[in-house]
Formats: sequence, structure tokens, C-alpha cells
Amino acid sequence: MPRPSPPTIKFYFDDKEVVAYKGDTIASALLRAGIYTISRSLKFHRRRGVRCFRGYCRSCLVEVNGVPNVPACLTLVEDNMVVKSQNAYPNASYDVLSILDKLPHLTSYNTIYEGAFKNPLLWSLASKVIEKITGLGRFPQTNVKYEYSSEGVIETDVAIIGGGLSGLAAANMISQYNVKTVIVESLELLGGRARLDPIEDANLKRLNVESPKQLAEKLIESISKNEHIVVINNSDAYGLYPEERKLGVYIRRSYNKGSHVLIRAKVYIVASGAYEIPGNFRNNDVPGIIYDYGFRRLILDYNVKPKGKVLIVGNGGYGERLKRLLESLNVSFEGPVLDTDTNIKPRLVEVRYKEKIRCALLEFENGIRKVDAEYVVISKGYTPALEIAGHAGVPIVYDEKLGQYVPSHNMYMETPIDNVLVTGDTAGCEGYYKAYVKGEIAGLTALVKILGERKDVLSLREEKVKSLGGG
Amino acid sequence: MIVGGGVTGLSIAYNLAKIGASVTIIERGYIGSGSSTRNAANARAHFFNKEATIIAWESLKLMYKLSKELNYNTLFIKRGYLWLLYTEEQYKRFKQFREFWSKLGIPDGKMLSVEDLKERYPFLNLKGVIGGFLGHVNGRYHHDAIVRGYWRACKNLGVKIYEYTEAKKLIREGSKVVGVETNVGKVYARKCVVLAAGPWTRLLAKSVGIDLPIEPVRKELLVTEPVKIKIKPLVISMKTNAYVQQTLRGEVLGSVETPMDIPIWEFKSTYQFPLRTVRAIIELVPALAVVNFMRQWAGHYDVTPDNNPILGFIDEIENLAVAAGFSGHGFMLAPAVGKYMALLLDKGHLDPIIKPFNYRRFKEGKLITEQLVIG
Amino acid sequence: MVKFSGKNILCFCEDVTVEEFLEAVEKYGIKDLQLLKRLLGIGTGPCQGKQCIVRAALLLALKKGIKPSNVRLTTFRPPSRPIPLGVLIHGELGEE
Repeated sequence: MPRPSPPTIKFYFDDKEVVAYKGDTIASALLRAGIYTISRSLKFHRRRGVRCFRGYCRSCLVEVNGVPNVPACLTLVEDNMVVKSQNAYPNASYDVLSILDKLPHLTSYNTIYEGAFKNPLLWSLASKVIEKITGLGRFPQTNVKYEYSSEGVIETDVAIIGGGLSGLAAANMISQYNVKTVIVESLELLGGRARLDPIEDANLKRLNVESPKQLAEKLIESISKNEHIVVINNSDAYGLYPEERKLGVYIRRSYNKGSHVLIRAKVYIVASGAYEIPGNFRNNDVPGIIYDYGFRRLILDYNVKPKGKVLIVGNGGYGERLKRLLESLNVSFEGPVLDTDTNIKPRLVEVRYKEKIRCALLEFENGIRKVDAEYVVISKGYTPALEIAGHAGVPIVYDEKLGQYVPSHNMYMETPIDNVLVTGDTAGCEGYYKAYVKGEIAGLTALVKILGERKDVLSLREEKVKSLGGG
Repeated sequence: MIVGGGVTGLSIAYNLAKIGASVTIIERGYIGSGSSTRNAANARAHFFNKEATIIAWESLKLMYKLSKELNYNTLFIKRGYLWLLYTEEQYKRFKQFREFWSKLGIPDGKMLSVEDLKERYPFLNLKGVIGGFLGHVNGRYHHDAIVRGYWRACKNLGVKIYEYTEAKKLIREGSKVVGVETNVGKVYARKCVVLAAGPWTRLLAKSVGIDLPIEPVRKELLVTEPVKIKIKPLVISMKTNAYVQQTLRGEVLGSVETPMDIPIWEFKSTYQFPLRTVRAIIELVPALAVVNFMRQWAGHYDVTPDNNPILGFIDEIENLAVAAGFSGHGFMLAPAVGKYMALLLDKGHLDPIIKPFNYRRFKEGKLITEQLVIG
Repeated sequence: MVKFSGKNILCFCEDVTVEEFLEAVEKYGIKDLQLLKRLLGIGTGPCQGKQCIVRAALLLALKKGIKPSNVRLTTFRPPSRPIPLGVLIHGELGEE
């Protein structure tokens, strides 16, 4: 996290000097410096920037010291780093190929498969052009510098993928029975989304905490005291192969340094959280449009205070909670408003931009109103992160009651795969309290699988399952 | 009736419908859900025996014109195949085969020296390499586009296609097959039944007492995040049998043989595949170490004892035909297989180009093997 | 009168708009998300569908008047997110 003044690090973005604090990521430094356009999209060369701020959306990919496709939001700045935008010539601000955005029919699937390019001669020419301009990052040089290593194999009882609220709850539960646990956490800190939510949540009162943040802190403290829990931060659990009893993990140390570790566990708990539902409006991809959690990271973890207004897009709980956070921080905002998911006004229909967002067009009952905005934060809600449970072989089903696609599981968080459990928002986004209890249930189920059907564990589990019903 | 809605089944159906036959396709999943949408999308003419080379070259020539034929862009580009040779023996073998291929009508490939390779492909690590062979007539296409192209052409010609219809067994009456029992009922064939169902072909043939020597071998592929294009030809290492190439979007595609390429029915990905493949392709192109692994997937080769397909009618049953066992090169042969199987099925004409691939050869011990001599 | 312009993007990685997606669904009469993925490229870019596949499934369900439970999502495969190839050289192979 950035230290207070003065900023001591200097790096280059597209040959422009940028100052940053120690602890800044490339993304936070650029946004603080008022640089929003970081990249250009693959086909249309549309302006793109930071969206998720946690490595999943791949929108902020940049070239760092000759290494292509580096997520700017996960990479700490270093002195004299040479950062370049990708897929843009001469630079991200002025890209000659941005004309492709004005000619979408040229690159549409219709044109390519059924249109003019069917002609072999035309295709021969077109393919040569495509091959010259396609791809995101530059092909690296053979002498590019990097340093990767192995951290060997970790044998453990339980591996928990995700150190958010439910993962921590599971670990905390398991730790009371002297069972070995490893938590693999993608970010530099534990606590997931709860950590950045200091607003009170009435549902959590029965746990004797005021806010999700408080609950996360309580769990983190408890875990840090436990010798049976190992936490691996800055790590991506990239491949779960349950029949082989293997979890491949990539420990990120820098943009070109890292290690591989293989985790062999008896039970794998997938607590990988959830992803924001994207905005549904015109120009929903413009730099300055940031997902809810990403925006919290920006202002709370990296101390980048918005210079202009923040427009909150979202209905129900999430937009409201962000509103209360911004009120408490004295950040000027508008909304929450909806988007074109619904016909309910006011709703966001279009974002207008030049180098960054200029204004948002809101549709009211009696007409369109233009609202200035620097950021448009998408707080519409979450959908389970399915890729880890999915690629491990857990079938994905649609939960009618929640209206979400979730990995198939029962009330004990078991999936059709014997050694894989799912929990928290991965099993369905139902708010902080339920994420916590589901985490505890998963922990207890893991204990059953490892210690056997012990009466005390089973009865505690039934208690927890019952308490979910009343949430 | 054709069992199998992959590119082989679709190509046969298309060619049959073109000459006026009435065709039905039965497909257990969605069109192309087997190997047709899982392969590396490359086509070559260069095989190490005469029979396969002849049909492959025919097929490649048809590939060149396929966009026009189907009225749908196949995205075919002549990227070429580059074999990297590591021993004198390998070099000699390719030099001899170069002449062999030339005699069969294929435009001359190029023997490249280490200097040539260094100049043309500076991204390659040439340690241990003594030379290369570039088959420039070979090319890359978009497999999904070809599947869609055939599918659309078939529908326009009145071919009836039933997806999510799984053939469970063949219905035999005497010495004929009259139809197929599926998960949604029985479907009857008026003239003949063609099994173009990849590895599933064996199961179906077994249901009428025919044992075809086809094994499903799992194969995996991986792909990276897109980067600007440098690796144009399909680069094959004759040391590790790994191959690597970039797609039209700039993704680096790579694969290597692994000990887990075993007869297995599910398309499950394995932990060791990316590890082994990466070791092999980074040895070939060291710069790839900083390019990001984006996706791995699995499919099948349907493999026969001599790595060549089984084409034609089955003797024991007068109207049962097979087009399977392509052992990893089925997609590239589909245009030719479709054309000549259609002639066989509708007109009864057994063209010399598919004759050598008869099912009898396994019983007679006349497997197609590597040969240098023509005739 | 305000004139609206701009693209409503469905797949950010591959630049596929909501309009293009719905047009393809209508034109080809497709009910299978797999076929749309192969035709348009949705879900095949660097984020591998994290931002688009669920939204696409729900759009397809709405457009075709079918239940989301009848729309199968595309197949998830490792890695859960892109990682450098060079790291995998150091993955332990071990005995199996």
C-alpha cells in the first residue's frame, strides 16, 4: 500500500515520465497521474483501462521491460520501469488503427466468413494485413529477462482456494481441530471483498461484529495465531486436477519473476469468490468504468482520491453500500442509478468520452440528463467465479432461486467430485453473512472427510446449516 | 445415413447431397463436438508413405478451393510446415522423401541449412539442429469455419441433421444394416449406413460383430494469450515431436506427446500436459517463457495400427461403410474423403485413391508402412 | 433530441457487441452457447468468459424464450487465469 508523501519512484509509460509511491501498482500510479487509457482492444482498437483491479478481467494488460501482457493492476512499480501500452501505434492516446472502431462492419463475422473476404484473392491480401496487426502484446525478444523457480510440493490436509470471508471462515473452523490447511490467496492481503467494506451490515450483528471488514479482521487475527495454517499470498491457483489430487499454483513475485508450487491435499475447498456483473449501456468499456471491488481497491488501498464525480451504477444492496462508503469519505457522487437491464428510470444509457469519461447520459422519466463523471462504478451485483470449480469437473447448474449459475453442490458444500467442496460466493452470491456460514459448513465437511463422521463435528454442521435457512 | 456429424461426416454428406443423394446425419452432441472442433487446424500433404500422401495432396488441393466450393470463408492460409532436424539420419530421410514427394506431384519443399533457419526464423533456438525441411504448400485454416461451412452447405442441399441423437447400436437384418438405434428411437436407412464417428465408430461396429482396430487416444493442446505474430509455419521438432505455431489471432498453439496420451473416453485435461509441452516449446522458442498460458483442452486421435484410416465398405455386411481411424489427420483429409466416399456410396465406384485403406488390410497383415519407393 | 451512439460491448476481450450477438442468434437460430462462442469468439479471449459468458447465457435465454437452466455454459478449462509459460517449466512432474 502506498506510503505517504513524497512519491519516490519514477517510471515511464509510453515514454512519458510518471511518478509513483512505493507500493503503487502500475495501474494505481497511472490513474493517480490522470492516465486512464492504458491499452486498445483487440479488434476495434477501442480505449481500454483498469476495470477489475484484481487480475481477472485482463483489460489493463501492458508491456513491462519487454514482457508482454502484464496486468498493470497486479504489478508493483519499480524505478525506471519501461511500461508501454499494447496494440496501439504510436501510443495508447493516439492509435492510428482506432479508425477500425468507426468501421465495425469491416471486421464483423459476417464480413469475414460470408462477405467479401470469401474471395481467395481478397482473403490472401486481408490475411496478410491481419497477421501484421493482430495480437495484443509484442512478441518478446529472445533475450528477455525473467526468473522463474520451483517451490516444490506441499502436502497438506486441506487446500483452500481463496482467502476471502468464506475461505477464512473455513480455515478458522478447521484450525480448531489441528488439521493442516493451506490458503492460496490471489491478492497481497487476506480478506477479499469484506476487507474493503467498512460499512455496517445488520446481518452480521449476530456474529458480534459491525461490518464485513471487522469480521474479516477478526478471522485474520485468529488465523495468524494458528500454526496449522499456511497462507500463500500473491498466488494464482491456476489448475485444479482433483482425480490426480493436484493443484498447480503460480506465486507471483514480479512481472517477470515467480515460482511454481504443487499442492497435494486430501480436500480442496474452492472459495474463489465472484465477479462483478458488467454494465449494460453504450460504451460500457471505456476507461474510467471500474467494477465495484476494483474501485474500493483504488480509493482505499491505493489512496487515489477521485478528482471528479463518481457515478454509481447498481440496484439493490451493492450500489447502496458503495454510496454509504463514498458518503463517509466525502467523495462526490451521483446515483445509484440503474442501466438498460431494466426500463426503470433513472437509468444509464450511454457514456460519452474522449481521452477519458466526459459525461454520462441518464434517462429520466421526462428526458435525458447529462451528468459529469470521472468514474462510473459498476455495482450491479456479483456472479460466482466458476472457472476453478468448473475446470476441476464440477458441473455448472442454474440456481432458480438465486438467479445465478453456480457449481453443483448440496447443503454441506459437497460437489459431485468427492474431494472438491465449494463455498462462499462461489456457491452462490447471497451476502456476507451467508458467505461466512457457508465457509464454516465447508470447513466442517472437510473435517468429516478427514477425521471421519465424528458426532461433535456432524452436529455442529447441522446447526450451521439450520442457521443458513434463517439468514 | 451417416453416423457422426464431424467434418468427415459432413463432408461425405455434402458430396453425396451434391450428386443428388438423400442423406441423414446422426450426431451425439452438437455438430463438430468431437475432434473437429478440438484440433490444431493444420493440413499437410507430406506423409511417409505413398497412399496417404496421394490422398492428402488431393485433399489439400481441395482445401485451397474450399472457400469457393462452400461459399464460406475457411480462413485458409499457406503457412507451411517446418520440420527441424537434429540428426544426419533425419536430414537424409527428409532429403529422400523430398524427392519422393516431388515425384508424387507435390511442389518441391525446401531443405534449409542452419544459416537459412537463423535468418528466416530468428526466434528459434537452433541448438542441436542441423537443418530443416519447409513444406510450404501446407497450411492453416479455421476448423470451426470449415465445420460451419459444410453444415450450412449440407442444410442448403436438404441434408437432414439430427443433433443430440446418440447412436447406440446398429440394427442388422441378415447381411444388411437397416438402421440405427438411438437415444431417441430407431432411425432407418434406405441405402446404407456410414460410420464416421471417430473413436465411437468401433463401438458401433462391434454391435454387429465387426471389430475395427480403432483406439481413442487422448491428445491435448494448449494456447497462449495473443501476441504479435512471429511464428508462422507449424514448427515441428523432430527431437521431441513437439509442435508450435501462432493462430490468426496471435495465440501461440502448442502440443507434445505425453505418457498420458492413453486410450481414454473423457476429454479431461491433465496437470502434466502444460508442464511437458512448455518444456518442449520453450526449448524451441525461448522467448515464449514470458508469454502467458491461457487455455488447455483435450480431444482424441482415433488411432489404427498403421496410423492410416479405414475407408470403404465392410465385407461382412453389404451396406455398412466406414470412414474413421484417421489417427490425427482426419480433418485435413475430410475434403478428399468426402468426395471419394460419396462416389463409392452413391455410384459404387471405388477410386484407387481410397482403395488401399480398406478394412481387410488388417486381417491380411498388409498394413501401410513407411516407404520410400513408389510403385 | 439526443442522438445515441456507441457500442454496448458483450465480450470485451474479443470486441463482440450485444447487437452482433443477438443478430447471430436470430440469423442462425442458435440455441447453443457453444456454437455462438465458435462463431463470434465470445469467451475465447484473455479473460476466458469471466465478463461475458454468464451475461451471454442470460441474453440467449431471454432472446430465445428458454429457461437459463436450459442454456449450458461453455466448458471451463485450466488455467483459471493466464500465467507465464516459463513458470510451468518448474512445475514438479514427479512419479505418477
